[in-house]
Amino acid sequence: MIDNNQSGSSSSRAVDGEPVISMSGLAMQFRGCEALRGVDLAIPRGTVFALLGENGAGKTTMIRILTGFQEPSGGSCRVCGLDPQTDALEIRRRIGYVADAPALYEWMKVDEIGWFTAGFYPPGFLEAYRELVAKYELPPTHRIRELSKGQRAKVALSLALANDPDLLILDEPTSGLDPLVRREFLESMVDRAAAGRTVFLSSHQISEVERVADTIGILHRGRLELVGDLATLRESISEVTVRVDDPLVSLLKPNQPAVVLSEQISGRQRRMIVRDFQDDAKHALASSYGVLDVTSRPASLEELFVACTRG
Amino acid sequence: MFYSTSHRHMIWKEWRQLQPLILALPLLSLLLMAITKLTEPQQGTAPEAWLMLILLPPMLYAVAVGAVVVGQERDSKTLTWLTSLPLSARQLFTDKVGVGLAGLTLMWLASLSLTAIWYWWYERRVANYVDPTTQVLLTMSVLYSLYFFVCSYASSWVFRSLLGSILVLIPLGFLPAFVADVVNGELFRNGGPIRSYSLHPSLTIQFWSVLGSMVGMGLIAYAVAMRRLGPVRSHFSKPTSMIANSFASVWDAGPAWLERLRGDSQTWSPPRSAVGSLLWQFRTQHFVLLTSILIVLVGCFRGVANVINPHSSDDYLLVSIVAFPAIGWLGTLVFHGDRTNQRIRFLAERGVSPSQVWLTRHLIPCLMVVVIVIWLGSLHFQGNYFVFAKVTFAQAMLTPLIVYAISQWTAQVVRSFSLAVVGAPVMASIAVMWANYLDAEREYPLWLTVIALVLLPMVATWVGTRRWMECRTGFRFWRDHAVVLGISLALTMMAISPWWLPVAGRARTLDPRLLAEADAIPTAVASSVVLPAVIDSMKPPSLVTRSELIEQQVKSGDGHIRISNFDDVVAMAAMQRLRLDAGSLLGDQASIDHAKTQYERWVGLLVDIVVGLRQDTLLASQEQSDMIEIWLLAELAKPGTVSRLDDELLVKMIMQLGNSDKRWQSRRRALLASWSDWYSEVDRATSNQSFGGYVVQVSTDQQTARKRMLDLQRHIDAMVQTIVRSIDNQSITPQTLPVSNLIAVFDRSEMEYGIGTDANLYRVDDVTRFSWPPRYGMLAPLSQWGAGWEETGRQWLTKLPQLKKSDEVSQ
Repeated sequence: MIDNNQSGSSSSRAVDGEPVISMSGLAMQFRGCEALRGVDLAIPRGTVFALLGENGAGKTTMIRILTGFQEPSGGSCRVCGLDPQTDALEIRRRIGYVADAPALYEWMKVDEIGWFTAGFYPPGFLEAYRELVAKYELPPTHRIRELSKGQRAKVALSLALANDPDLLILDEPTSGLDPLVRREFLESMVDRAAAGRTVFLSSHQISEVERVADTIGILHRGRLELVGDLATLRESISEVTVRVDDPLVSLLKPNQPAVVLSEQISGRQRRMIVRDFQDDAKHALASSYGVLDVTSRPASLEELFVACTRG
Repeated sequence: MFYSTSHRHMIWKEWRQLQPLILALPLLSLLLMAITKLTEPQQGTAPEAWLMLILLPPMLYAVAVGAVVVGQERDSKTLTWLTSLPLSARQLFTDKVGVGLAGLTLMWLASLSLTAIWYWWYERRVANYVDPTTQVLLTMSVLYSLYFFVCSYASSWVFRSLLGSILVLIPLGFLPAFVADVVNGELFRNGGPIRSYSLHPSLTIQFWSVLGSMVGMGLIAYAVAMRRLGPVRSHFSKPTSMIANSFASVWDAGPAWLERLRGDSQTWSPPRSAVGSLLWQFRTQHFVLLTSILIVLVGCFRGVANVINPHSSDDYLLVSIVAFPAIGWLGTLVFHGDRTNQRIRFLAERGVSPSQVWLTRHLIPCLMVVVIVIWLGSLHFQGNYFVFAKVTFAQAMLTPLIVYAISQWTAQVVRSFSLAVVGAPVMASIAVMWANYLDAEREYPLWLTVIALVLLPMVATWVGTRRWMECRTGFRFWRDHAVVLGISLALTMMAISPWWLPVAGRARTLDPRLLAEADAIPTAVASSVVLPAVIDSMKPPSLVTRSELIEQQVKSGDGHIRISNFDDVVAMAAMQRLRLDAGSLLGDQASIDHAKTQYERWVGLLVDIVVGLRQDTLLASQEQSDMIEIWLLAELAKPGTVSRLDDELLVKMIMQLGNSDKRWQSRRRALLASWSDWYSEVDRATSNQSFGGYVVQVSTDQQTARKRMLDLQRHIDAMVQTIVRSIDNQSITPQTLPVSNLIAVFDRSEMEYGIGTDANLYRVDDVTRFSWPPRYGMLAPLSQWGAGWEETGRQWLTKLPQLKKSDEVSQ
């Protein structure tokens, strides 16, 4: 397992001073269920952070805590320098948030909902919203209830983006979007990050996360199993395949600093996802008793995700 | 096999959906009954209250069932899912209706159980309630519950909005009555316009009109349900005629006028403020419902004010039945309008201030309620008292505010929209009943009622708005509400503690010594009035009956004699005097002796009756004594009477007639006892009561019946205390004190007080006309405390020694 503190330190390289999101020992307990277990995390400004996790891992709970919709059982967190427990409304005004099932006034027209929402934001919102509506090719005179699922998602995104927020929190943002819009949307996320804005997204779509995320976190059963810069992780995580002459032979663990994240045995073949698997460790493993050969290659993010969530 | 299984599963699902309603309504009714039991005096309550409470579960169920079974499913989109299952539209429809009908049957069974509890509490016999009127009412109620049941289904299929589908039941409720009126008018009118129908429709016409309306609504429900549950059709895609074409074009452009009214949002400049935005959203979202509620309220009050008989208390009931839910639904809209599909989260996610949301949700409905209150006030000043039946002006003004405040609070707390729509008016009604009870019986200050039942519920929702917006209705949400509710309850409950008022309905300002004395007076038995032997010997049938009645009454219960007059006895005495006069004229000594004996016996009987009645603690007995004494005085004044009476009887009679102090003490005791008894009367606000010689006739006439009980009590308290104080101070002088005092105390046009002959009532300014000798008719006034005849009695007492001397001389 990856040491959260260690990985956290790598991701806490602040671009602009204080991290946009920081949490320390964040815990949330529901009746008979620990949704979050002492999560430590710091997300610097100008980052696209992707939170990955299986269903029920605690992603939405974390987002609800960050946006002040849920009071945590323990620990603390800050968003844009504010405490969600005390300044939730201010946080929500500053950020853009799209929930997994966005609540929209279905009787309003596409343009009306933008006009309505503009009342809660500084001047310029309505113009930006109308630009986004045009960009996403949404019919402004149609009512929300007449739109398709993807179009509703576009309306929700337009409303979240029109304020040009410092932090954008997106819970499964691309579900329902067609591939073209998804690609366009993801690219715009990268642009936002380049402009110094921060994006926090939770997603199941590993391929899209790979495309846009600077930093990822993998949440498993309420615990942050892995946090780190995506490029660094890609370099440091390897899939190691070991062939042995006897299925019953026991292998030694790779030398430090290598850490085995997961291991699968299939006949005479062992497949491991290993972090920091260096040449020394490879040689040592290859020279072990009963080992026929050792091959390694960089692991994909999906393999990493599976390794973290299946153990 | 599959068919029956799918039926079973559907029935299970429908049953689970209806369970909260089926459980909640009887419990609610039971709660209302408990409140009625707690707040009514010990002798029970009127059948009307029982009927209203037992009819509550089936009627409310019938109104709400469509919203729960159809509307709620459509809102949560489970209806769409159901139609995707391999179930026919007909099966879906029949299962929903079938389970709903089973629930209605259960509701009627619950009503029967509630009736049993009612009897158990009040120990009333079933026979007391089973009169033809009640039977008809119950039969029609069953029919009406079925009609509302069918209407509820029909409107739920037709209307998209849950509240709209319930709101439309108000005009639909009047449909059968309208049909019956029209049919009745067409059958019986004599060429006059329809509006001049005056005959009340017969029961048969009413029955068939309800049945016909029910069938019509049932067909609509079926047709629309089949359409909704079947495949989606393109509306008016193939209009076949010119009319259909034009209708289709109008339909397609349906909301165009509304669009024009609203304008093109793309040309709008950005909103100036968040409040403006929120107000726009609330107004636009609820435009149709707000307008409908306004129309209902306007129609209700205007109709009652101008069309329906303004002197009927039934109209107050109509106002309550229609206006309470309408105002309650205004309150429901405040929070439930945004609860559908949790769309309020839209505002929460954007950090919109909960205070702003709370304010903007309340502004428009509050304005509407304020307009209603002002309107009510103006109706009052125009002389339309119908809305103020049995409550004060202030209480009437406060009622819409309480209904609104409690409803909006219910709407925030109750998650289910259909339960909130049904529950809010009921909860509000309970609160209004409670407020009226506190005001009428516990002298609870109005400003505390405002705090407890208006401001605190508003504060509760203000505190809870943020969690409501965030859809976090967990422990803390409930805790906050419970705290505010607890404070509200504690504020009002303190009024029922013994230290607040020692006895319900009695003012703290009352003289405690007097109260204690009143409570300590035992029920008196007019024992000396039991004179059957004398009466029976005369054998006049009416008197035999009367004597038996007297005996029965004395033996049977509280010892009071409830026969209201002794005219027959007086008449018999008068007849003997005529016989005596005739005998004297004829010179028939035998006849003279017989008539004299009988005359003495009857006069003696009257004196004994007076002595006996003076021991009774019923004021009516005192008044009867007054009447007999006045007759005896009139008899005494006639020439020859003194010489015709036996000395012993003459002395006894004059001693009785002249003993003013004893008479006042008897009256004083009866006044206090009647005053004490009056508080235990259930219908003390509406039944005829008389207090003392200057009678306060609490008439059954509507004008008086509308008055608030507390006002009445306070005035009667003041009157009783004034009279008792006057008796104690011996400050009563003939024809002066009581009238002048009463004018000062009772200068209220709506109260009839006065005295009169027989059943005639006179206003206070007529009271002064009454003095001895009576000027109105041949009979003496029923009661004349402190009037001139009493002074005459005293004069006879002073003349008694001389009478004796003259008698001795004559002998």
